Amino acid sequence: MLCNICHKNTATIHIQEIVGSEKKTLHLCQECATKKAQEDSSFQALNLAEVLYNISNQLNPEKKEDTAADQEHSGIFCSTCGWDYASFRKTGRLGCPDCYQAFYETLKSAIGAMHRGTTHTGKHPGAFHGAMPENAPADKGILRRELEKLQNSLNIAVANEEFERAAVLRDKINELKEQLKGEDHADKA
Amino acid sequence: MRTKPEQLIDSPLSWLADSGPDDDIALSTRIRLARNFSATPFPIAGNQEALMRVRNLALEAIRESDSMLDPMEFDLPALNDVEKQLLLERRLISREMLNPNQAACLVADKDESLAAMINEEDHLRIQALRPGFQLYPVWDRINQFDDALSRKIPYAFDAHLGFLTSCPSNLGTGMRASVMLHLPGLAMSGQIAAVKQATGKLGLAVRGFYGEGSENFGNLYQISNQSTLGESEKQIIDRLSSIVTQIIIHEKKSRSFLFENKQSYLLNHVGRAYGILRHGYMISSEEALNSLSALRLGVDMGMFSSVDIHTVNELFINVQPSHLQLRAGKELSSEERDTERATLIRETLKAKRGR
Repeated sequence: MLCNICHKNTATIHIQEIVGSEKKTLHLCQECATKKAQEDSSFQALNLAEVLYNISNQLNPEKKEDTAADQEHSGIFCSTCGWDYASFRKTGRLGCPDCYQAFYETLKSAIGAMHRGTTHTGKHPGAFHGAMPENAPADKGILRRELEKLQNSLNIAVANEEFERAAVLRDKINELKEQLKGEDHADKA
Repeated sequence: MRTKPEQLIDSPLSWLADSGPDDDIALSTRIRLARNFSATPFPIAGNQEALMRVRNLALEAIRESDSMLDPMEFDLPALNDVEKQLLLERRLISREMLNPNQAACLVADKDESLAAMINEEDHLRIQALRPGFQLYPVWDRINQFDDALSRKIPYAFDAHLGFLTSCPSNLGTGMRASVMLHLPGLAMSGQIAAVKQATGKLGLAVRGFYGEGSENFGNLYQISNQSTLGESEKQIIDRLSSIVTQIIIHEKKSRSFLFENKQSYLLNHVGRAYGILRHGYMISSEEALNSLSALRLGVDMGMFSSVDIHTVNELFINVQPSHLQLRAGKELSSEERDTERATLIRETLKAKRGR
Protein backbone atom coordinates (compact mmCIF):
# COMPACT_ATOMS: atom_id res chain seq x y z
CA MET A 1 0.00 0.00 0.00
CA LEU A 2 1.24 3.49 -0.86
CA CYS A 3 1.48 6.34 1.63
CA ASN A 4 -1.69 8.47 1.79
CA ILE A 5 0.25 11.71 1.75
CA CYS A 6 3.05 11.36 -0.81
CA HIS A 7 1.57 8.44 -2.81
CA LYS A 8 5.07 7.32 -3.65
CA ASN A 9 6.59 5.40 -0.76
CA THR A 10 5.24 2.24 0.82
CA ALA A 11 3.13 2.89 3.91
CA THR A 12 4.67 1.35 7.01
CA ILE A 13 2.84 3.30 9.70
CA HIS A 14 -0.89 3.11 10.29
CA ILE A 15 -2.56 5.74 12.44
CA GLN A 16 -6.15 5.79 13.61
CA GLU A 17 -7.63 9.26 13.69
CA ILE A 18 -11.01 10.34 14.94
CA VAL A 19 -12.39 13.20 12.88
CA GLY A 20 -15.81 14.29 14.12
CA SER A 21 -17.77 11.10 14.62
CA GLU A 22 -15.74 9.14 12.11
CA LYS A 23 -12.81 6.84 12.65
CA LYS A 24 -10.24 7.02 9.89
CA THR A 25 -7.06 5.09 9.33
CA LEU A 26 -4.11 6.87 7.81
CA HIS A 27 -1.44 4.85 6.04
CA LEU A 28 1.84 6.72 5.99
CA CYS A 29 5.44 6.21 5.08
CA GLN A 30 8.12 6.90 7.68
CA GLU A 31 9.03 10.24 6.17
CA CYS A 32 5.50 11.68 5.98
CA ALA A 33 4.58 10.34 9.41
CA THR A 34 7.49 12.16 11.03
CA LYS A 35 6.58 15.35 9.22
CA LYS A 36 2.96 15.11 10.26
CA ALA A 37 3.82 14.46 13.90
CA GLN A 38 6.10 17.48 13.98
CA GLU A 39 3.57 19.78 12.38
CA ASP A 40 0.63 18.59 14.46
CA SER A 41 2.18 18.63 17.87
CA SER A 42 2.53 22.41 17.98
CA PHE A 43 -1.18 22.82 17.38
CA GLN A 44 -2.90 20.75 19.97
CA ALA A 45 -6.20 22.17 21.10
CA LEU A 46 -5.94 23.80 24.49
CA ASN A 47 -8.56 24.24 27.10
CA LEU A 48 -8.76 28.00 27.37
CA ALA A 49 -9.96 27.93 30.95
CA GLU A 50 -6.89 25.99 32.00
CA VAL A 51 -4.58 28.28 30.07
CA LEU A 52 -6.14 31.36 31.60
CA TYR A 53 -5.86 29.92 35.01
CA ASN A 54 -2.29 28.76 34.63
CA ILE A 55 -1.21 32.14 33.33
CA SER A 56 -2.69 33.91 36.29
CA ASN A 57 -0.97 31.42 38.60
CA GLN A 58 2.37 31.95 36.94
CA LEU A 59 2.10 35.67 37.32
CA ASN A 60 1.15 35.46 40.97
CA PRO A 61 3.69 33.07 42.45
CA GLU A 62 2.12 33.43 45.88
CA LYS A 63 -0.99 31.78 44.45
CA LYS A 64 0.87 28.88 42.96
CA GLU A 65 -1.14 26.25 44.78
CA ASP A 66 -4.37 25.51 42.96
CA THR A 67 -6.17 24.93 46.19
CA ALA A 68 -4.96 28.20 47.70
CA ALA A 69 -6.17 30.18 44.68
CA ASP A 70 -9.40 28.26 44.61
CA GLN A 71 -9.98 29.01 48.25
CA GLU A 72 -9.14 32.65 47.82
CA HIS A 73 -11.51 33.12 44.87
CA SER A 74 -14.11 30.47 45.52
CA GLY A 75 -16.44 32.85 47.33
CA ILE A 76 -16.59 35.35 44.46
CA PHE A 77 -19.78 35.59 42.48
CA CYS A 78 -21.55 38.18 40.34
CA SER A 79 -24.47 39.77 42.14
CA THR A 80 -26.19 40.60 38.83
CA CYS A 81 -26.35 37.16 37.24
CA GLY A 82 -25.19 34.80 39.99
CA TRP A 83 -22.23 33.43 37.98
CA ASP A 84 -19.69 32.05 40.46
CA TYR A 85 -16.00 31.29 40.51
CA ALA A 86 -16.55 27.57 39.94
CA SER A 87 -18.49 28.28 36.73
CA PHE A 88 -15.77 30.59 35.52
CA ARG A 89 -13.09 28.05 36.36
CA LYS A 90 -14.96 25.33 34.49
CA THR A 91 -15.79 27.27 31.31
CA GLY A 92 -13.24 30.08 31.13
CA ARG A 93 -16.16 32.38 30.43
CA LEU A 94 -18.18 34.96 32.28
CA GLY A 95 -21.93 35.09 32.79
CA CYS A 96 -22.82 38.70 32.02
CA PRO A 97 -21.20 42.10 31.37
CA ASP A 98 -21.27 42.96 35.10
CA CYS A 99 -19.18 39.86 35.89
CA TYR A 100 -16.12 41.85 34.81
CA GLN A 101 -16.61 43.99 37.90
CA ALA A 102 -17.06 41.05 40.24
CA PHE A 103 -14.17 39.04 38.79
CA TYR A 104 -11.84 41.92 37.93
CA GLU A 105 -9.23 41.11 40.58
CA THR A 106 -9.21 37.43 39.57
CA LEU A 107 -8.93 38.22 35.89
CA LYS A 108 -6.59 41.19 35.87
CA SER A 109 -3.29 39.40 35.38
CA ALA A 110 -4.72 36.88 32.92
CA ILE A 111 -6.12 39.69 30.76
CA GLY A 112 -2.73 41.38 30.80
CA ALA A 113 -1.00 38.17 29.73
CA MET A 114 -3.52 37.41 26.99
CA HIS A 115 -3.52 40.79 25.29
CA ARG A 116 -0.99 43.33 24.15
CA GLY A 117 -2.35 45.91 26.55
CA THR A 118 -4.90 46.31 29.31
CA THR A 119 -6.72 49.44 28.14
CA HIS A 120 -9.10 49.62 25.21
CA THR A 121 -7.94 52.12 22.60
CA GLY A 122 -10.24 51.11 19.76
CA LYS A 123 -13.64 52.32 18.67
CA HIS A 124 -16.50 53.18 20.99
CA PRO A 125 -20.09 52.26 20.19
CA GLY A 126 -21.95 54.82 18.09
CA ALA A 127 -24.70 56.94 19.57
CA PHE A 128 -27.43 54.64 20.80
CA HIS A 129 -30.90 55.98 20.05
CA GLY A 130 -33.17 53.45 21.73
CA ALA A 131 -34.32 53.25 25.33
CA MET A 132 -31.63 52.16 27.80
CA PRO A 133 -32.58 49.02 29.65
CA GLU A 134 -33.43 49.68 33.29
CA ASN A 135 -30.68 49.43 35.91
CA ALA A 136 -27.88 49.67 33.35
CA PRO A 137 -25.15 51.55 35.22
CA ALA A 138 -23.73 54.75 33.78
CA ASP A 139 -20.42 53.69 32.33
CA LYS A 140 -17.34 55.08 33.96
CA GLY A 141 -14.93 52.34 33.11
CA ILE A 142 -13.90 49.54 35.35
CA LEU A 143 -10.84 51.38 36.68
CA ARG A 144 -12.83 54.35 37.92
CA ARG A 145 -15.34 52.08 39.62
CA GLU A 146 -12.45 50.18 41.20
CA LEU A 147 -11.02 53.50 42.39
CA GLU A 148 -14.31 54.49 44.05
CA LYS A 149 -14.49 51.12 45.77
CA LEU A 150 -10.93 51.43 47.09
CA GLN A 151 -11.53 54.97 48.29
CA ASN A 152 -14.56 53.78 50.25
CA SER A 153 -12.53 50.98 51.81
CA LEU A 154 -9.79 53.47 52.68
CA ASN A 155 -12.26 55.73 54.47
CA ILE A 156 -13.57 52.77 56.43
CA ALA A 157 -10.07 51.58 57.28
CA VAL A 158 -9.05 55.03 58.52
CA ALA A 159 -12.24 55.36 60.54
CA ASN A 160 -11.46 51.99 62.18
CA GLU A 161 -7.84 53.00 62.73
CA GLU A 162 -6.60 50.02 60.66
CA PHE A 163 -3.56 51.89 59.45
CA GLU A 164 -1.63 48.99 57.95
CA ARG A 165 -4.58 48.13 55.76
CA ALA A 166 -5.06 51.81 54.93
CA ALA A 167 -1.45 52.09 53.75
CA VAL A 168 -1.92 49.14 51.37
CA LEU A 169 -5.13 50.68 50.04
CA ARG A 170 -3.46 54.07 49.62
CA ASP A 171 -0.70 52.50 47.49
CA LYS A 172 -3.26 50.72 45.35
CA ILE A 173 -5.20 53.96 44.88
CA ASN A 174 -2.08 55.85 43.83
CA GLU A 175 -1.21 53.09 41.38
CA LEU A 176 -4.69 53.26 39.87
CA LYS A 177 -4.59 57.04 39.65
CA GLU A 178 -1.31 56.83 37.74
CA GLN A 179 -2.90 54.38 35.34
CA LEU A 180 -5.92 56.60 34.85
CA LYS A 181 -3.71 59.62 34.26
CA GLY A 182 -1.91 57.74 31.51
CA GLU A 183 -5.27 56.87 30.01
CA ASP A 184 -6.54 60.46 30.03
CA HIS A 185 -3.33 61.46 28.38
CA ALA A 186 -3.84 58.89 25.67
CA ASP A 187 -7.39 60.15 25.14
CA LYS A 188 -6.22 63.69 24.53
CA ALA A 189 -3.31 62.69 22.31
CA MET B 1 -36.69 35.68 4.39
CA ARG B 2 -36.60 31.98 5.34
CA THR B 3 -34.24 29.94 3.23
CA LYS B 4 -33.50 26.23 3.20
CA PRO B 5 -29.78 25.54 3.58
CA GLU B 6 -29.69 23.24 0.55
CA GLN B 7 -30.58 26.22 -1.63
CA LEU B 8 -27.08 27.49 -0.88
CA ILE B 9 -25.15 24.67 -2.53
CA ASP B 10 -25.59 26.00 -6.04
CA SER B 11 -25.07 29.65 -5.22
CA PRO B 12 -21.45 30.71 -5.60
CA LEU B 13 -19.69 32.19 -2.58
CA SER B 14 -18.85 35.75 -3.60
CA TRP B 15 -15.78 35.78 -1.38
CA LEU B 16 -14.24 32.82 -3.20
CA ALA B 17 -15.70 33.00 -6.69
CA ASP B 18 -14.92 36.67 -7.40
CA SER B 19 -11.53 38.19 -8.08
CA GLY B 20 -9.66 40.10 -5.41
CA PRO B 21 -6.24 41.63 -4.80
CA ASP B 22 -3.41 39.06 -4.52
CA ASP B 23 -5.88 36.23 -5.01
CA ASP B 24 -3.19 33.97 -6.47
CA ILE B 25 -2.08 33.47 -2.86
CA ALA B 26 -4.75 35.02 -0.63
CA LEU B 27 -8.11 33.30 -1.00
CA SER B 28 -10.15 35.56 1.23
CA THR B 29 -10.17 38.15 4.00
CA ARG B 30 -12.53 37.99 6.94
CA ILE B 31 -13.19 40.23 9.95
CA ARG B 32 -15.56 39.39 12.77
CA LEU B 33 -16.66 41.45 15.74
CA ALA B 34 -18.03 40.11 19.04
CA ARG B 35 -20.78 42.23 20.61
CA ASN B 36 -23.17 41.84 23.53
CA PHE B 37 -26.28 43.51 24.90
CA SER B 38 -25.67 45.51 28.08
CA ALA B 39 -27.26 44.34 31.35
CA THR B 40 -28.16 40.96 29.82
CA PRO B 41 -26.66 37.56 30.70
CA PHE B 42 -24.37 36.09 28.01
CA PRO B 43 -25.78 33.04 26.18
CA ILE B 44 -23.88 30.62 28.45
CA ALA B 45 -25.74 31.96 31.50
CA GLY B 46 -28.96 33.31 29.99
CA ASN B 47 -32.39 31.76 30.34
CA GLN B 48 -34.41 31.09 27.22
CA GLU B 49 -36.65 34.11 27.72
CA ALA B 50 -33.71 36.53 27.89
CA LEU B 51 -32.04 34.92 24.87
CA MET B 52 -35.25 35.02 22.81
CA ARG B 53 -35.53 38.72 23.60
CA VAL B 54 -31.93 39.20 22.41
CA ARG B 55 -32.73 37.20 19.27
CA ASN B 56 -35.79 39.29 18.42
CA LEU B 57 -34.13 42.64 19.12
CA ALA B 58 -31.04 41.64 17.15
CA LEU B 59 -33.09 40.46 14.17
CA GLU B 60 -35.04 43.72 14.20
CA ALA B 61 -31.86 45.79 14.39
CA ILE B 62 -30.29 43.86 11.51
CA ARG B 63 -33.40 44.25 9.32
CA GLU B 64 -33.70 47.96 10.08
CA SER B 65 -30.00 48.56 9.45
CA ASP B 66 -30.58 47.83 5.75
CA SER B 67 -27.01 46.58 5.58
CA MET B 68 -27.87 43.44 3.66
CA LEU B 69 -29.24 43.47 0.14
CA ASP B 70 -31.12 40.20 0.38
CA PRO B 71 -30.92 38.73 3.89
CA MET B 72 -31.53 35.04 4.62
CA GLU B 73 -32.48 33.90 8.13
CA PHE B 74 -31.91 30.49 9.68
CA ASP B 75 -33.12 29.34 13.09
CA LEU B 76 -30.41 26.90 14.12
CA PRO B 77 -32.55 24.59 16.32
CA ALA B 78 -34.80 23.94 13.30
CA LEU B 79 -31.94 22.56 11.18
CA ASN B 80 -30.69 18.99 11.05
CA ASP B 81 -27.03 18.03 11.49
CA VAL B 82 -26.16 17.96 7.80
CA GLU B 83 -27.70 21.41 7.27
CA LYS B 84 -25.83 22.90 10.21
CA GLN B 85 -22.62 21.28 8.98
CA LEU B 86 -23.23 22.88 5.56
CA LEU B 87 -23.38 26.34 7.15
CA LEU B 88 -20.15 25.55 8.98
CA GLU B 89 -18.48 24.41 5.77
CA ARG B 90 -19.47 27.74 4.18
CA ARG B 91 -17.91 29.71 7.10
CA LEU B 92 -21.32 31.09 8.09
CA ILE B 93 -21.40 29.57 11.56
CA SER B 94 -18.82 28.41 14.08
CA ARG B 95 -18.31 24.91 15.43
CA GLU B 96 -20.03 26.02 18.64
CA MET B 97 -23.27 26.59 16.68
CA LEU B 98 -23.48 22.89 15.79
CA ASN B 99 -24.97 22.51 19.27
CA PRO B 100 -27.11 25.63 19.30
CA ASN B 101 -29.21 26.97 22.15
CA GLN B 102 -32.94 27.44 21.55
CA ALA B 103 -32.55 31.09 20.50
CA ALA B 104 -29.56 30.65 18.16
CA CYS B 105 -30.02 32.21 14.78
CA LEU B 106 -28.04 33.13 11.66
CA VAL B 107 -28.65 36.01 9.28
CA ALA B 108 -26.58 36.18 6.11
CA ASP B 109 -26.66 38.29 3.00
CA LYS B 110 -27.54 36.34 -0.14
CA ASP B 111 -23.96 36.54 -1.49
CA GLU B 112 -22.70 35.45 1.98
CA SER B 113 -20.30 38.40 2.24
CA LEU B 114 -21.92 39.70 5.44
CA ALA B 115 -23.40 37.62 8.25
CA ALA B 116 -24.51 37.76 11.87
CA MET B 117 -24.65 34.88 14.33
CA ILE B 118 -27.08 35.52 17.17
CA ASN B 119 -26.66 33.78 20.54
CA GLU B 120 -23.44 31.96 19.82
CA GLU B 121 -20.76 32.41 22.50
CA ASP B 122 -21.66 36.10 22.48
CA HIS B 123 -25.05 37.67 21.74
CA LEU B 124 -23.78 38.85 18.40
CA ARG B 125 -20.92 37.79 16.17
CA ILE B 126 -20.90 39.76 12.95
CA GLN B 127 -18.56 39.04 10.06
CA ALA B 128 -17.66 40.43 6.65
CA LEU B 129 -15.79 38.50 3.96
CA ARG B 130 -14.22 39.46 0.67
CA PRO B 131 -12.11 37.64 -1.91
CA GLY B 132 -8.33 38.09 -1.90
CA PHE B 133 -6.28 40.18 0.49
CA GLN B 134 -8.19 43.35 1.36
CA LEU B 135 -8.34 44.01 5.09
CA TYR B 136 -9.23 47.70 4.87
CA PRO B 137 -12.33 47.40 2.66
CA VAL B 138 -13.54 44.49 4.82
CA TRP B 139 -13.03 46.62 7.93
CA ASP B 140 -15.03 49.49 6.38
CA ARG B 141 -17.89 47.12 5.66
CA ILE B 142 -18.06 45.51 9.09
CA ASN B 143 -17.48 48.84 10.85
CA GLN B 144 -20.47 50.38 9.06
CA PHE B 145 -22.64 47.39 9.91
CA ASP B 146 -21.52 47.63 13.55
CA ASP B 147 -22.28 51.37 13.68
CA ALA B 148 -25.74 50.79 12.26
CA LEU B 149 -26.46 48.07 14.83
CA SER B 150 -25.11 50.11 17.74
CA ARG B 151 -27.77 52.75 17.07
CA LYS B 152 -30.44 50.12 17.80
CA ILE B 153 -28.71 47.86 20.32
CA PRO B 154 -27.33 49.04 23.71
CA TYR B 155 -23.92 47.34 23.58
CA ALA B 156 -22.12 46.12 26.68
CA PHE B 157 -19.12 48.45 26.74
CA ASP B 158 -16.64 49.56 29.36
CA ALA B 159 -14.45 52.64 28.84
CA HIS B 160 -11.43 50.73 30.12
CA LEU B 161 -12.02 47.16 28.91
CA GLY B 162 -13.82 48.01 25.68
CA PHE B 163 -16.54 45.73 24.34
CA LEU B 164 -17.38 43.16 27.01
CA THR B 165 -17.42 39.56 25.80
CA SER B 166 -18.27 36.22 27.33
CA CYS B 167 -14.66 35.08 27.04
CA PRO B 168 -11.97 37.53 28.23
CA SER B 169 -9.85 36.59 25.21
CA ASN B 170 -12.13 38.73 22.99
CA LEU B 171 -12.27 41.84 25.19
CA GLY B 172 -11.53 45.31 23.85
CA THR B 173 -12.16 45.50 20.14
CA GLY B 174 -13.86 42.08 20.03
CA MET B 175 -12.22 41.83 16.64
CA ARG B 176 -10.68 38.84 14.90
CA ALA B 177 -9.28 39.68 11.47
CA SER B 178 -7.97 36.86 9.31
CA VAL B 179 -6.56 36.25 5.87
CA MET B 180 -6.72 32.83 4.23
CA LEU B 181 -3.49 32.01 2.44
CA HIS B 182 -2.56 29.23 0.05
CA LEU B 183 1.10 28.44 0.73
CA PRO B 184 2.20 25.40 -1.32
CA GLY B 185 5.55 27.01 -2.16
CA LEU B 186 6.53 27.51 1.46
CA ALA B 187 5.19 24.06 2.31
CA MET B 188 7.18 22.31 -0.43
CA SER B 189 10.37 24.10 0.50
CA GLY B 190 9.89 23.09 4.15
CA GLN B 191 9.45 26.60 5.51
CA ILE B 192 5.95 26.36 6.99
CA ALA B 193 7.17 25.54 10.50
CA ALA B 194 9.42 28.61 10.43
CA VAL B 195 6.57 30.82 9.19
CA LYS B 196 4.30 29.51 11.95
CA GLN B 197 6.93 30.17 14.56
CA ALA B 198 7.73 33.69 13.40
CA THR B 199 4.06 34.58 13.04
CA GLY B 200 3.33 33.22 16.51
CA LYS B 201 6.07 35.33 18.02
CA LEU B 202 4.50 38.41 16.48
CA GLY B 203 1.25 37.66 18.28
CA LEU B 204 -0.66 36.18 15.36
CA ALA B 205 -2.26 32.76 15.12
CA VAL B 206 -1.89 30.33 12.24
CA ARG B 207 -4.71 27.82 11.76
CA GLY B 208 -5.79 25.41 9.06
CA PHE B 209 -8.66 26.35 6.76
CA TYR B 210 -10.81 23.57 8.10
CA GLY B 211 -10.29 24.53 11.72
CA GLU B 212 -8.16 23.26 14.57
CA GLY B 213 -6.07 20.24 13.60
CA SER B 214 -6.44 20.65 9.83
CA GLU B 215 -3.16 22.48 9.32
CA ASN B 216 -1.86 20.06 6.74
CA PHE B 217 -4.92 19.99 4.50
CA GLY B 218 -4.58 21.71 1.17
CA ASN B 219 -1.76 24.01 2.32
CA LEU B 220 -4.42 26.50 3.36
CA TYR B 221 -3.60 28.67 6.36
CA GLN B 222 -5.57 31.31 8.20
CA ILE B 223 -3.46 34.06 9.72
CA SER B 224 -5.28 36.06 12.40
CA ASN B 225 -4.70 38.37 15.36
CA GLN B 226 -4.70 36.86 18.86
CA SER B 227 -4.80 39.94 21.05
CA THR B 228 -7.91 42.11 20.95
CA LEU B 229 -7.24 44.56 23.80
CA GLY B 230 -4.65 47.33 24.07
CA GLU B 231 -4.47 48.23 20.40
CA SER B 232 -6.97 49.97 18.15
CA GLU B 233 -8.63 48.12 15.29
CA LYS B 234 -6.40 49.99 12.87
CA GLN B 235 -3.20 49.04 14.72
CA ILE B 236 -4.23 45.38 14.74
CA ILE B 237 -5.09 45.45 11.05
CA ASP B 238 -1.89 47.32 10.14
CA ARG B 239 0.23 44.70 11.89
CA LEU B 240 -1.65 41.78 10.37
CA SER B 241 -1.48 43.44 6.98
CA SER B 242 2.28 43.95 7.03
CA ILE B 243 2.93 40.38 8.16
CA VAL B 244 0.61 38.89 5.55
CA THR B 245 2.36 41.04 2.92
CA GLN B 246 5.67 39.54 4.01
CA ILE B 247 4.33 35.99 3.87
CA ILE B 248 2.97 36.60 0.36
CA ILE B 249 6.36 37.86 -0.78
CA HIS B 250 8.06 34.76 0.65
CA GLU B 251 5.51 32.44 -0.93
CA LYS B 252 6.15 34.08 -4.33
CA LYS B 253 9.90 33.71 -3.87
CA SER B 254 9.54 30.04 -2.94
CA ARG B 255 7.37 29.39 -5.98
CA SER B 256 9.83 30.95 -8.37
CA PHE B 257 12.74 29.21 -6.68
CA LEU B 258 11.00 25.85 -7.16
CA PHE B 259 10.13 26.72 -10.73
CA GLU B 260 13.68 27.68 -11.60
CA ASN B 261 15.58 25.03 -9.66
CA LYS B 262 13.29 22.05 -9.22
CA GLN B 263 11.15 22.22 -12.28
CA SER B 264 10.62 18.51 -12.87
CA TYR B 265 9.83 17.97 -9.20
CA LEU B 266 7.23 20.73 -9.36
CA LEU B 267 5.72 19.62 -12.68
CA ASN B 268 5.57 16.04 -11.41
CA HIS B 269 3.78 17.15 -8.25
CA VAL B 270 1.17 19.17 -10.14
CA GLY B 271 0.78 16.65 -12.95
CA ARG B 272 0.18 13.70 -10.64
CA ALA B 273 -2.38 15.66 -8.68
CA TYR B 274 -4.22 16.64 -11.87
CA GLY B 275 -4.23 13.00 -12.96
CA ILE B 276 -5.86 11.93 -9.72
CA LEU B 277 -8.45 14.72 -9.81
CA ARG B 278 -9.28 14.28 -13.48
CA HIS B 279 -9.40 10.48 -13.58
CA GLY B 280 -9.96 9.21 -10.04
CA TYR B 281 -13.23 7.49 -9.14
CA MET B 282 -12.82 7.60 -5.36
CA ILE B 283 -11.02 10.29 -3.45
CA SER B 284 -10.83 11.00 0.28
CA SER B 285 -11.29 14.48 1.63
CA GLU B 286 -7.65 14.88 2.56
CA GLU B 287 -6.35 13.61 -0.77
CA ALA B 288 -8.78 15.88 -2.61
CA LEU B 289 -7.68 18.96 -0.71
CA ASN B 290 -4.00 18.23 -1.18
CA SER B 291 -4.45 17.51 -4.89
CA LEU B 292 -6.56 20.64 -5.33
CA SER B 293 -3.77 22.58 -3.67
CA ALA B 294 -1.30 21.28 -6.25
CA LEU B 295 -3.75 22.04 -9.06
CA ARG B 296 -4.22 25.59 -7.77
CA LEU B 297 -0.45 26.06 -7.82
CA GLY B 298 -0.32 24.72 -11.38
CA VAL B 299 -3.11 27.07 -12.48
CA ASP B 300 -1.28 30.01 -10.97
CA MET B 301 1.90 29.05 -12.85
CA GLY B 302 -0.02 28.97 -16.10
CA MET B 303 0.11 25.20 -16.60
CA PHE B 304 -3.64 24.96 -17.24
CA SER B 305 -5.33 27.35 -19.61
CA SER B 306 -8.78 25.81 -19.18
CA VAL B 307 -9.10 25.84 -15.37
CA ASP B 308 -9.23 29.10 -13.45
CA ILE B 309 -8.27 29.68 -9.85
CA HIS B 310 -11.83 30.43 -8.70
CA THR B 311 -13.05 27.04 -9.90
CA VAL B 312 -10.45 25.45 -7.64
CA ASN B 313 -11.42 27.78 -4.76
CA GLU B 314 -15.02 26.69 -5.02
CA LEU B 315 -14.04 23.03 -5.12
CA PHE B 316 -12.27 23.52 -1.77
CA ILE B 317 -15.73 24.26 -0.35
CA ASN B 318 -17.85 21.92 -2.46
CA VAL B 319 -15.90 18.72 -1.75
CA GLN B 320 -16.75 18.88 1.96
CA PRO B 321 -19.06 16.16 3.36
CA SER B 322 -22.29 18.11 3.86
CA HIS B 323 -22.06 19.80 0.49
CA LEU B 324 -21.77 16.35 -1.13
CA GLN B 325 -24.67 14.93 0.87
CA LEU B 326 -27.07 17.80 0.23
CA ARG B 327 -26.14 17.72 -3.45
CA ALA B 328 -26.88 14.00 -3.53
CA GLY B 329 -30.09 14.62 -1.58
CA LYS B 330 -29.36 11.87 0.96
CA GLU B 331 -26.97 10.80 3.67
CA LEU B 332 -23.86 9.13 2.32
CA SER B 333 -21.44 6.73 3.93
CA SER B 334 -17.79 7.69 3.97
CA GLU B 335 -17.16 5.43 0.97
CA GLU B 336 -20.08 6.85 -1.00
CA ARG B 337 -18.83 10.34 -0.29
CA ASP B 338 -15.42 9.47 -1.71
CA THR B 339 -17.17 8.37 -4.90
CA GLU B 340 -19.41 11.47 -5.06
CA ARG B 341 -16.43 13.70 -4.38
CA ALA B 342 -14.40 12.17 -7.21
CA THR B 343 -17.39 12.50 -9.56
CA LEU B 344 -17.98 16.15 -8.68
CA ILE B 345 -14.31 17.00 -9.25
CA ARG B 346 -14.12 15.03 -12.52
CA GLU B 347 -17.29 16.64 -13.89
CA THR B 348 -16.22 20.14 -12.85
CA LEU B 349 -12.81 19.83 -14.49
CA LYS B 350 -14.27 18.14 -17.59
CA ALA B 351 -16.79 20.96 -18.05
CA LYS B 352 -13.94 23.45 -17.92
CA ARG B 353 -11.99 21.52 -20.55
CA GLY B 354 -14.93 21.43 -22.91
CA ARG B 355 -15.15 25.20 -23.17
